[in-house]
Amino acid sequence: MSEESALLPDSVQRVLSGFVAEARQVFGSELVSVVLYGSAAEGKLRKTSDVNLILVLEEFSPDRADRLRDPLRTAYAAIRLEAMFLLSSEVPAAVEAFAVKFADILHRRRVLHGPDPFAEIRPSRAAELARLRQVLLNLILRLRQRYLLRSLRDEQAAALVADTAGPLRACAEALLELKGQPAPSPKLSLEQVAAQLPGDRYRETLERLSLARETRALPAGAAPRALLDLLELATEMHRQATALH
Amino acid sequence: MNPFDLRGPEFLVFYAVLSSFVLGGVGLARYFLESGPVPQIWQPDPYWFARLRADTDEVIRIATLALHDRGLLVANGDTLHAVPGAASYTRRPIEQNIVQHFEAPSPASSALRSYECRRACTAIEAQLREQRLLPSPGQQGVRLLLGLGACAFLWWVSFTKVSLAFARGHHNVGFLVALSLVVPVAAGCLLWRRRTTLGRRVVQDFQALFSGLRERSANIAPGGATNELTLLLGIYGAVALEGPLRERFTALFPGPLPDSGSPGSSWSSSTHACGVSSCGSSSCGSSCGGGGGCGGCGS
Repeated sequence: MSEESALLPDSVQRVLSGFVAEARQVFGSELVSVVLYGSAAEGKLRKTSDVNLILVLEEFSPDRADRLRDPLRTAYAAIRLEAMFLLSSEVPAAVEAFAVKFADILHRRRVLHGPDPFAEIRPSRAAELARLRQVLLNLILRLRQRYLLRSLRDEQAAALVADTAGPLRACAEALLELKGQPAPSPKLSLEQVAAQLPGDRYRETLERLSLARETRALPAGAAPRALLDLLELATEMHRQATALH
Repeated sequence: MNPFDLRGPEFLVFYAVLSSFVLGGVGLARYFLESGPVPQIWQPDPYWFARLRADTDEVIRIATLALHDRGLLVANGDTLHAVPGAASYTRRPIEQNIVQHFEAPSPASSALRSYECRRACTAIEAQLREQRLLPSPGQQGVRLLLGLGACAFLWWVSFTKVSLAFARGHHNVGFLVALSLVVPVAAGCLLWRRRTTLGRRVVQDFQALFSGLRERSANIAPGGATNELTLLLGIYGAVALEGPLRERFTALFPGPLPDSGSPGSSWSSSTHACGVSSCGSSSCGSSCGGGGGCGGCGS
């Protein structure tokens, strides 16, 4: 545990270790694995990042789970720990159902306890493709709605740009993988997808995306334009995903 | 050379230096006697921590705001009243007593004077003393002995010098007497700290551990769905609040905000020094089963 999470800030490492220890104590043999994923697993945690964790369980016993309530609430407050409670019997179905998310988890994960539950599992191409189209379409629809709701307020629009970064980058990673052109990270994947489009029109948008993710703020007037560019980019990615077989 | 043979001004300098050494030694003795390894806990109870960081008033203020944030207490100006059945939604004695207190509409600050509300904090205080984060009766006894010992020694020195001076026909002992009167005040300031050394380090430790919470305090959503607000208040105090939450706090409890109580803060240093408190008294989850960050769930 300490070696695996050595790249994390001390406070995150301490809370994470404490939470995993509590989970082991509470669930005992019912706890199969604990997997850290996302930016924390890469050691690239930012101040605004969540710490994402999957607890794979044999069963979800309410009386045991109740004992983990306070530790989870405290860990969320301290380091924004987002925990997913997944039964081992649900792993294959979850990987298929949320193929884009799990494709990212398969790339960026660290096992903190137990065996690696995803070592032998990959989402099928059909599932990943279907899910990618669904996620992108969902993203496009939400972006349109939220653009109208929030673009008058620069600070809200900037927060929306920041929140769009994760899903869009994960989709870009999945898209490139499905095209047989995998990139080393979700961020580079989105840059690669944008670079493959005619002209150099998204470079500034992606810089603003990174800035918004880091600071949750953008220069006055920049966020609404960035939102529209991201909407356009997502639409282009959806078109490419639809064209794939 | 016998220091009692020193001339007036020279003896005053000697006495001041001696007092500094003795009182410094007493302060160091208290520091080390009340020190110890910081417990490696990471889950502070907000009310427990608020009492460690500040005082009983702070615990009541925080619990009141937390209940108001949950919608169990409704505000009308600075007056609060409990919604019907609110008591059944609370589990902590302090929360239950506050809800009972506001069954009849009352100003928010009236809870600070409520015997029942204050009594609920005594268990927290006892726990902190047992854990030696606040001075236990034994530690208070040691502080008293250290202070009395230092004063007795320094007063013996000044008494001896004054006696010798009178015997030699000198009566210009005013400065020495004044300096001797400062000794117990200085000893009190050194010894009468609200927290122990260990308690002070625990405050620092938790404030560092939860620094991320403070950094995102402006984004804490009201409503009590998480315990972020209560922990933020417990660990840092109302000074960490921003925006509407801060306005709500000051509307309920007008007056200057008590600060975070961190050892470097002005409130802390001024109050600890003499032992007086100036306070006086998602959408993503729906599609992927939880977990955010990677965003592959289409949010």
